[in-house]
Amino acid sequence: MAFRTLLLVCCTAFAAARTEDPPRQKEPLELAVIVHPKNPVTKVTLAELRAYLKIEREYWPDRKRCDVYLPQSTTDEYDVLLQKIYRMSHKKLQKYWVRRLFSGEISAKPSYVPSAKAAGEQVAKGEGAISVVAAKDVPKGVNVLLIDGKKPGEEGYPLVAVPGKAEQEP
Amino acid sequence: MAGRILLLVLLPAALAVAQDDGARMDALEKENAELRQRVENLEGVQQAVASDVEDTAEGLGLNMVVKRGSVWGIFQLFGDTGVTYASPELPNRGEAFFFDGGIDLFFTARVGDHFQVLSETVFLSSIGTTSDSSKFDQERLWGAYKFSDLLQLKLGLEHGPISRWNNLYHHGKWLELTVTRPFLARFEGDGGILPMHEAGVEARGAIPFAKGRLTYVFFLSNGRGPQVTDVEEFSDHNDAKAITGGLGFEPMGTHPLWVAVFVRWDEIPPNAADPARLRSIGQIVTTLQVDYRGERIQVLSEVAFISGSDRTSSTDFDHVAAYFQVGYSLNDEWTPYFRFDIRDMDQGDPYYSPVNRDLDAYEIVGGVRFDFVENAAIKLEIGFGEREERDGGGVVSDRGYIRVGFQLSFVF
Repeated sequence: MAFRTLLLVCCTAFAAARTEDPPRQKEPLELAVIVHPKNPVTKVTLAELRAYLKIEREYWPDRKRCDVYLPQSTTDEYDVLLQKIYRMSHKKLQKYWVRRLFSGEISAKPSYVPSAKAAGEQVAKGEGAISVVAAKDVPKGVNVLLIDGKKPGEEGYPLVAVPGKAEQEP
Repeated sequence: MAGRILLLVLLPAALAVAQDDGARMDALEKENAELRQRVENLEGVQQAVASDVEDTAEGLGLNMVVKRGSVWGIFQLFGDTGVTYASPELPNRGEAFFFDGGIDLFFTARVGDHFQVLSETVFLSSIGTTSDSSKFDQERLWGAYKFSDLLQLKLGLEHGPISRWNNLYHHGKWLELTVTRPFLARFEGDGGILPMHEAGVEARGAIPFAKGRLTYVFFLSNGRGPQVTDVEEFSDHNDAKAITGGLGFEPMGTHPLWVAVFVRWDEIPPNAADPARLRSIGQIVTTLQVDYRGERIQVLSEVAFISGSDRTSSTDFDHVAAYFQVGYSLNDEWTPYFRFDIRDMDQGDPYYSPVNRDLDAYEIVGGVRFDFVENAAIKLEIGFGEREERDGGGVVSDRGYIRVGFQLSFVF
């Protein structure tokens, strides 16, 4: 009897282990780049967007400083940015900011915002601000930039990726 | 009747009490309003302080970033320590010893959209002839106004742009891939042959176009002092100023590549204490710089051509120094690296010879860097090569050497 009970327990445990869900692949995430409504720039190429978000370009054409607000590093939005814009891991990006700041090439590092709502608030507040949010969470009162002539949702829009891939890369 | 009398007596008393309560209520309400105002003021101050201090969770080390009004301030600290072995050993020293590499205090602030100040102060350790010492050194101190991406004007003390290594890493050892600097990027007081520190005015900017970005630098500075170890931070020995001009190109692409050429002209003043240096030396330095940072591979390479025209002996001297360094990131933590480093000097140059920097040397360096946490790294490297040495009688001979370095470097 004891043996049967033990067998039953083992079989149940084994079956439970077998039926555990495999890790699910995340859905592709589309990002929208938001700026202040008074910003004269309405469209950029992907290369120009890289230059702004990497602070290689510090000023908009109207000479307002481009202040970058990034999503927090634990978010899917940040992961997609690492893949599509920065092309480096989070650790390397941190080192990149320290090196450029220390060399005097830039005068400040990007700020981080905890949510799309907070990103919207910062962008609505600063005429030179730029931020990136999930396309489905675009807050009110901001403009969404066209990238390579395309807006989020259109075929060929470049800021789309499956989150989680950046951490697998060196 | 008695009741009416009682009412007549009590009514004024009740009215008096009621009047007294009303005044007290007014006073209480006033006090309450004042207190409410004070609480609101305190809450406002608290919110302002909270919004002035950036979230520190996303930076390296302490990442001390403060924003107050239109001022952004950032403070960072670098440091390093380690152990080294060299054979043959340094004069009056053993083959192996521990060392303290010093502390680097970095601060920068931006005021509004266009003005920036930057300061780098280092507590350096130096090996003396008989005893070691530490000294305080202001390495950089400048203010800059950036009109746009096209033009920035900078005034003050800066690390000269003639070497890419110098402009990338300054005194931040944690940023350097390796334990040691290459020959051409060594500091004036540490065996260097190029001017690493310059005081003057600089114009720089970047011009974007379809295929990439063109950057330019123009720097007017005090120039070099009479001796190769001199840094003219606070004054100038002659009226002639040094001029440095450079053009860099960064092609549009996924990974950053920098290719640049810099030229520097200087009139080095005479040295009254040296009979071989009664007149000035005209010096022209040309450097070629390549810097590539891929996902895994990083390459940094420079060549410097130094041409000196000694007006005392009417003799020209030509020197070349170069290095090629490559690192390969296995992951975020481990990066093995390799460097070939060479200095080919014309012997007898009166500017370099008093401190034996007119002698040839080459070195092969191999090592590994391990970033064991985000803001600290350990590096282990082995270097071996050959260098010319001059004895007391002035006879020059070749001597092989080997060295091993272990360094702990960090940023907070």
